[in-house]
Formats: sequence, structure tokens, C-alpha cells
Amino acid sequence: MKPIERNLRIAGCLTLVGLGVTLLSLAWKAPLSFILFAGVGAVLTFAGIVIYLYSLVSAAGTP
Amino acid sequence: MTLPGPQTLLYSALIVSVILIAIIIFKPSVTATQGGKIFAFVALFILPILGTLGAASDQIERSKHTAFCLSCHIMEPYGKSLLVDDPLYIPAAHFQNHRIPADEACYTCHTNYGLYGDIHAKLGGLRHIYIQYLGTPPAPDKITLFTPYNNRECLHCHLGARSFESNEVHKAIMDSLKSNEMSCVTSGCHDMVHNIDSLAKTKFWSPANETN
Repeated sequence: MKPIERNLRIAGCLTLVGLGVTLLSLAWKAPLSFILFAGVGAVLTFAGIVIYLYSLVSAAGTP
Repeated sequence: MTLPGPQTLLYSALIVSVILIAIIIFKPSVTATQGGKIFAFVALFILPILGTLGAASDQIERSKHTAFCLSCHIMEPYGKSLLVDDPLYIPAAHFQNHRIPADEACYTCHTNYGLYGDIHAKLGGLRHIYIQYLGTPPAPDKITLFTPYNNRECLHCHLGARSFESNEVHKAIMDSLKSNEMSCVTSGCHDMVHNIDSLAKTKFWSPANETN
């Protein structure tokens, strides 16, 4: 597997879990659901996006 | 035919995003072509960002609802105080007569109508959650406001209203009210606020009784 494909998989997994937690937090109507969204869902989603962008940059950098 | 609501669109965007990302996880080679790269950009950048922003907006809107505030057990007496059958109780009179939106009753009065009021209110809410789950919450009757109630929150609605402006007492002290020199709720005029320590001795209004 190429490095970029491995990075895309990692980014995809993180973003998938993050969005899954976000969906769960929307279904759960309680004050703690915002903490779940902001502390877990959004953080994982953001991490996945960052890794995706890094994979683009690192792939562009390799000859 | 009605258009789907914003929440439906939000859920749809999140579910579509999850499906597209799952495709990339199981078959990352789809991103080898130019079309696949665009597909990955939409699935791993555009849709997650839009979904997260939409979810954040939904969460913040949800936190304005009366039921949200009253979902914490410690707020139960305050919710009960909205049903006191006494027009002198300010929150009850406002709530029962829909002078404030009933489904955003708490937020309407307890938000900060300053320039960054919404943000202050939301940060205050985070502080409440911290105290509730990680701190030592006080007994309901020992809860106090972080800062004295600002007349601005009353005047936000009442200023300019005929009944308020034509009242002789208000006319005489208008400058003091606007400058917060005299408080609306602690100067002896409208002091019956939640008063939860006296709820056991009060009568309550029931909406069900009115419809019979």
C-alpha cells in the first residue's frame, strides 16, 4: 500500500469516528452531549482533516 | 411539498459524509485518478467541515431551550417557579403569559444582551457543566448569579414599550434604571424572582386546568 493510501485510511478512520460521535451527540439531548461533540467528535474530525491535508502535502513533496 | 428542514439536511450531510469516507477507507485506490482526488477532497474536507459546523450550530441552538436548562436536576425548583400562580413572581408572569418565548424562557432572560452576549452566555453554560459534573454544585436555594442581574436584560424588551414608559414611577427613575444605579429586581419593586425557598407555600398554575 502506498504511503498516501495508508495516510488516507488513517485520516478516514479518524474522521469517520469523529463524525459518528458527532451524530451520536446530536441524538443525545443533554448538556453533556455538547461536551461529547466538542471534546471528542470535533477533535477527532479535525485530526482526520489535518492528517488528510498532511497526506496531500507530503505526497506532493515526493518526486 | 415542503423542503427538508435544516436538521434533516444536517443529518443527511453527516450520513453521506460517513458513507463516502467508508468508501475511501475500504478502497483508498479510488483516489488515484483526478476524479478520485476530488472525491476525497469532498469526503475528507468539505463535508466533514460543513457537518461539524452544522452540528455546532445545532448544539448551540439546542442549549437555548427551556427543557435543556431544566434537564439538570438542580434546576428543577427553578422550572417549578415558572408555574407559580402569582403575578408578582416575575419569571412566572413572563413565562405563563408568553411575554418571553416559552421554549427559550431561561435563555431569554439569562443571556447577556451585550455585544458578545451570546458568547458570554455560552461560556457561562460551560462553567455550569463543569461545576455540575466536576465541582461541587451548591444546593438549589444557594445558587446565585455570577454577576448582579443587569437591567439591560429587562430593558432590552421593556424599553420603548408603552406600558413601561408611561408608568410614572419608571419615568421618575428612568436614568437610574438605564445606568444600573437602581436594579429592577433588587430595589424593592420587582424582587419576586424565582424565590425557590418559598415554593412549598405557593400555589401553582396548571395549563391543563385552563383547557377543561
